[in-house]
Amino acid sequence: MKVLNALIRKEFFQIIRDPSSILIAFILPFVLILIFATAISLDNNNIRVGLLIDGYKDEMNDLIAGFEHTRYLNVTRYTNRQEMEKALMSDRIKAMIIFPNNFSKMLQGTQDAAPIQLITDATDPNIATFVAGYVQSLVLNWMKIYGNEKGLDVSNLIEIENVVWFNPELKSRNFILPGSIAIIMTLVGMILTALVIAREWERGTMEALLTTQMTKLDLLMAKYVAYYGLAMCSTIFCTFLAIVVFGVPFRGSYVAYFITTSLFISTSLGQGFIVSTFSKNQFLSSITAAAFGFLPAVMLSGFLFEIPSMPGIIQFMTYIVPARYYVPGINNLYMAGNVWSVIIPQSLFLLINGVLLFMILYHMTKRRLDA
Amino acid sequence: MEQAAATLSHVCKIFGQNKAIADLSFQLPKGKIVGVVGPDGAGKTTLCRLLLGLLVPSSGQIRVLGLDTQTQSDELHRLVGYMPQKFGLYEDLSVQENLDLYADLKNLSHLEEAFKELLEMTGLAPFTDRLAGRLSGGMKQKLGLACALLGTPQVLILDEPGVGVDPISRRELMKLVRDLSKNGMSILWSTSYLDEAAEFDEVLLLDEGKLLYNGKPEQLTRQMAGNVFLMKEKKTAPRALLRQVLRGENPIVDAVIQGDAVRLVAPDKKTQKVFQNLLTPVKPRFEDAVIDILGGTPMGESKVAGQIQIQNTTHFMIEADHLTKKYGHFTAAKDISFKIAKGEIFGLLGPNGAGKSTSFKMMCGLSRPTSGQAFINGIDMRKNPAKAREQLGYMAQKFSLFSPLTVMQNLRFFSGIYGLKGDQQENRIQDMIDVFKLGPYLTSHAGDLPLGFKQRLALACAIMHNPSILFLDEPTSGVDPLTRREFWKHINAMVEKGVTVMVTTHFMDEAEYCDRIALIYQGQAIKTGAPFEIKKAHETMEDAFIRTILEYDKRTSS
Repeated sequence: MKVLNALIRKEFFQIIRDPSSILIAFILPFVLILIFATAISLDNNNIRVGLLIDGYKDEMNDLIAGFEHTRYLNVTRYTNRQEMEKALMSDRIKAMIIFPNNFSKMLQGTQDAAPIQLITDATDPNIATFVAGYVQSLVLNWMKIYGNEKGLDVSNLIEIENVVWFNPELKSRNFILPGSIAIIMTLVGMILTALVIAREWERGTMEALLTTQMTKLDLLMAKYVAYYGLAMCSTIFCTFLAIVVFGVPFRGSYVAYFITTSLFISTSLGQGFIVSTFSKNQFLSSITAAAFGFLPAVMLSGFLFEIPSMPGIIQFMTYIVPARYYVPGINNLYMAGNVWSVIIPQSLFLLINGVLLFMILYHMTKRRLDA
Repeated sequence: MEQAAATLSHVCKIFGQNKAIADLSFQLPKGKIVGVVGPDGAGKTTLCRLLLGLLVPSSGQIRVLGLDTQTQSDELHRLVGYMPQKFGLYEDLSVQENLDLYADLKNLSHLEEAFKELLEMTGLAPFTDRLAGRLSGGMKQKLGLACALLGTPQVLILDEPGVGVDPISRRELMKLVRDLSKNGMSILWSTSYLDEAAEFDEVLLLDEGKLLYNGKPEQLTRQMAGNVFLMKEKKTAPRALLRQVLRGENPIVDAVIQGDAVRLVAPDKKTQKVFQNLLTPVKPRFEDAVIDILGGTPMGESKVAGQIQIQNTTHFMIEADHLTKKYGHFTAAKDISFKIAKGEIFGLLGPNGAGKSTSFKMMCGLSRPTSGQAFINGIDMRKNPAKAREQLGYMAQKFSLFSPLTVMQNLRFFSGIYGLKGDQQENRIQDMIDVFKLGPYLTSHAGDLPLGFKQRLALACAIMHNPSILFLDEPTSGVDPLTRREFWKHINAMVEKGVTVMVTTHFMDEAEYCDRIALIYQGQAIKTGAPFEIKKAHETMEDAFIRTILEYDKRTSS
């Protein structure tokens, strides 16, 4: 216990006296949260679209008004198709909506459906799909009303109902910020720890430690305890920013949040320590940590990209990324509340992951300098 | 009955294909200081680590204090103190916190008395609150020693305690350790400084893992008695005389420049007779005997200077005019001035961190002086750095080569960046291969070369464009004494042709090769002059340096 206490005290002194640990634990998350909260927006507001109506008729007024008065679309009227195509190609608009000149005539008829042409710029598929869906629902809505007025039968048309749950305002910030805490904790946990064991080797202090009464367990526990504390402070700081400063709702239990986060931090620390033990060089360690920690956490955690839509082999790979278990867990805690059926299994996975990493680390850590 | 503190019998340690220690047997006597002496890569650190149980021997047996280093390592660590290279201190922790940490890690308690004693002994008592990172090299070394001495070990192992430490602190450490050994402690001290060997009770001379000598240093040195001379000829300068001797037919063991003479080791009676009139017998030193064991200095003449032509100039080739460099509040170099004439070797001499490299970098335009000016061949380094650099050959510390490239690729690359093209480039590369005998290594990666060949390649790369000025930053650090002699032979040959050389070194005896030296201490040039002017009779360079520092300290404090 004496040895462990001494080591923890040493780690603590090193943390508070080393400006880089404060930089990584607080300044870096602050900047990242700021970026995630303000600069990255997946919200589809005010998408610029072009509208061309050949053969205008009064009865289309309602529909046109429907396009022009929604905050999701920003409509520009065109009178000439070539001009509108040019606008699409030069990215001034994201989609073109064209009512052909026989539209109103065909509306009267009963045989063929009246066609509306919608051309979207699919270089950004998210926006393309969104515009397509939105235009479709607007038109259907209008047809229902129009049909009712005219006494026409529109029942053969499929009605699309779009209801948004959990995040009714569709604010992307509300799910980006909790997810980003997972990314930040991966980064903070790994970079902080990737440096520390490598540093002991580089400065020659490891050799001195190895000739004392310290055991492997002492060494690892002291590092875990000290850096868990630091990473926890960093999480609390990020949570404060998300909830208080950026107004992200939190609907779940803080105890559950604390437990899953603790488990998640232990996995990040484990990964970082393993990298550090392996490379024995601070520079190499931090690069490796960024490549093997940060990138998978962003790409494979389901934070930005849906896991079910990934190719099978990639989906399989996501199982070894701890953030994959943490992201859905905290997204639930923030937006849906205590969905135990999600939180408990995910936490168990994190626990298993953390224990496995610790065992690997313990096995890799040597009391000697050669294998 | 005398019992050994440690016994090694037929110990081998192999890393991959490399034999770090080959069949080593020896006994560490109790209560004595044993020096492990050898160049980098000799196996000194490996030996320390084997004794501590940090490495497992590939074969053979090690017993330290009767304990097995593998199965009884916990017990062993209680009884052995260890100061690793770089002292093993936490720079973010204060002096007292470092002591507390190591005391706790060694599971010791009630140490107030011990702390007080150690702090007094090392002179660190006034600095207990200072962070270890803010201590000078000498103070770090003493704190490292204090930490290693916690729990009063029976055996103390010091790995290169003199690196990065000024000569005064090195002597103080020797005195401290001497007292400890008198009280019965057994000490193993590894060093690459041959001139330290004389201070040890016993010496273990290692080279490439092989034991060359084990015994009292005086005994080895005595073997050279009557064979060592100072050689002087009125008409010939020592450098030319050295060249003659090395080129000559008469068998010799060693010849180096010392002051205004050549130090000649020649056991051969015929040689002694030939030079009879030029020789004055002197006392042998340890290094003379080591060169003898290693097979004698490389003979012959360096062809490196074959076609070098340097234009005559009237002005100084290198000029430093009141150079000062400040980093924040810290003054790394203060008001340094010197002038170097054509064909002169000028040395900046001082311990690590004294400001040698800072001055050096300002001279070659790698660092901008806070104030003052640097001139290369009359060109202001600040106004026209590119033009000034054309005249320079630069060999950086630790031989900055591209280790993943082969020897040939390195030669091609460096000749290319110095602007050599076509036939000229091919010819120069061929010259370098011939002069430095790089032929067998052309396709080897530079990183895999033995240290001596790395040094040769680095020198080749620096001189391919026939520079009139050569800057050498710690060019012989860690290299064995024979390779060092070989290296200086090349440098001397170039200097004879008029190349001007500026060199930094922390090997005091290497200063002898310089025409003039500046002693750098705490960022200042405290004395400048020819080595034989700075040294008094019967003084070594290190003695002279220490005396100069003490005089300087006295002058500045009063």
